[in-house]
Amino acid sequence: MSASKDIVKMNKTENWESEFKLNESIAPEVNIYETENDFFVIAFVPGVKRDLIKVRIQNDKLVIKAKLNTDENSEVEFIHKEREIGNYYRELRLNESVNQEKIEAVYSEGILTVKLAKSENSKPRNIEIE
Amino acid sequence: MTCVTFRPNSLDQLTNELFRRINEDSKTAVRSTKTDIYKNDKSLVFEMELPGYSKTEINVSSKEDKLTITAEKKNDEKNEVKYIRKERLEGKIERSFIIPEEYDLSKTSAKFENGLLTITIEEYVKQEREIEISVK
Repeated sequence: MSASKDIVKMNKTENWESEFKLNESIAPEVNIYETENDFFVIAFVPGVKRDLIKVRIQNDKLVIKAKLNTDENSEVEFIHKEREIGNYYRELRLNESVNQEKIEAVYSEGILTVKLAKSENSKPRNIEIE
Repeated sequence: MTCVTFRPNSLDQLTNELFRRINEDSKTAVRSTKTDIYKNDKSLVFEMELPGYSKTEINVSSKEDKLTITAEKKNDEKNEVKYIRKERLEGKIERSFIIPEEYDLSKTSAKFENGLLTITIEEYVKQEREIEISVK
């Protein structure tokens, strides 16, 4: 088993992960782009609170989990429903171009941005001409 | 039967017009965003997913019985990067709803939290009206 590493720390008193049902989850849309030194994974997870997001590296995969607080609306009468019910779950396989030791995650306004540093040999480099 | 005269000039104009429209549409990229609507105690509530926008980039307005929500990124710094995968398009969003007459659009409030816009429209207060009519 490979070591898993938490990137976004969560409230330790809540153990919401254990009740996470994979078959009832929504795969959030992701945009991925690269700059010279990094890859950026943007996951769209509207409606979740920061402390209910978990990002980790597990067996060469980037795993994103986020819990949606849906209990608040259980009593209301819906007229129109487009939003899916469930929690967010997405995994992305990482290849050797990612340095798994250097990963950062930031959450803001419904968007999770994961910055993955490129491994040294996948960065562009200039070769000196002698 | 109608006889159609082939006029290259006007056909050109037509296709130009068509492509101009397509280009404009893709530039503004008007599309919808997932919304739930529910009835609360004495109000109508809209919950709209707008991940990635900031409060200042969202505009909620009303005209007559129409509620309109627009969102547009002010400055997108990501122009210089190379996209590897793009599952979600980011750009201008516009969406309108016709509000039933029992709700008072002048009593609308909105809040934005965690990429979710919540709009609440209050019900019209039914005023007890009593008019005494004198009987002659």
